[in-house]
Amino acid sequence: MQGPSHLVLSWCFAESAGLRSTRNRAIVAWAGLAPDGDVLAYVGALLYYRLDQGLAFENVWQVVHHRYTHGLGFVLLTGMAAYALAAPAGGRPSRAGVALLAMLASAIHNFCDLVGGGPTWPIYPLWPLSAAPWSASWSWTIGEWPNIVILMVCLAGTLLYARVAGRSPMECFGARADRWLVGVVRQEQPARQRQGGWLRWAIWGALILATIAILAPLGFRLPI
Amino acid sequence: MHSRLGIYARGALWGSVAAICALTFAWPFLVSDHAEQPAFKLAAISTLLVFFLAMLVLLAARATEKD
Repeated sequence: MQGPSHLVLSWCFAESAGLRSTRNRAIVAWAGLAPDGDVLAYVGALLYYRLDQGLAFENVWQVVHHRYTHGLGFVLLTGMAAYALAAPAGGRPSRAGVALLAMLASAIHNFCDLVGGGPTWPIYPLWPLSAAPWSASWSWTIGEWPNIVILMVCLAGTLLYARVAGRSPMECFGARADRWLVGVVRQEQPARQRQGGWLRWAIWGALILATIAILAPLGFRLPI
Repeated sequence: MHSRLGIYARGALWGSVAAICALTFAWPFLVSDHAEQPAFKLAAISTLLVFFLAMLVLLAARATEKD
């Protein structure tokens, strides 16, 4: 499953579990994306191999991806980090609750990658206790339609939820980013935007380009 | 939202999360490490659908709540 899908689904999980604090919802959402943090190894490898994608893929990405971050060890690590970062206002039980939700979000990420990560990318459920891989031959690859549909629904759902509820997974990028998205989808016009309507068009253009940038490498083509 | 629907949705959410943990961390070691089995495929995809549906219902309720 794509990174944005993991982030949005994890935020939705935190929201539907009833978390009231913006900070805690963002912590759970990032915890749900955290297992894909091993992409940093690929970025490092690209720099190391002077942008040779083949070498970086073969020597690092193929070996590292899913191995250390898609298992029980990383789930527990996520919980500890979430406990340390959770908003202290709610006290110890509340912080423990956030840590539990963060661990569950990380576990859900593992399951989503088992079902929608492709058969060639197993997860390692009990790592570091066991290096036994776990994958399914019927698992959807990253560019297959179920994953594309989930991504589209996540993006459209984000916009719809921002309009109806006045908050969205953009909270993960800060309160200002969330207020901006809510303002855009509700067509609210702050005083400074009335004079510069071009800014809104530039932002929508950037959003469309970002969507294309996510979908194009996956081989997605419009059916026309 | 109808309160009974909310209770069912909450139950379905936590039930599906428990199933997700079991299918991810316990199934390959306690049941079978052959994920090609139709039973596992059926259980995995239906669990994912229940999880999405329960979340959808609860989000619909939360969206209309006053924080």
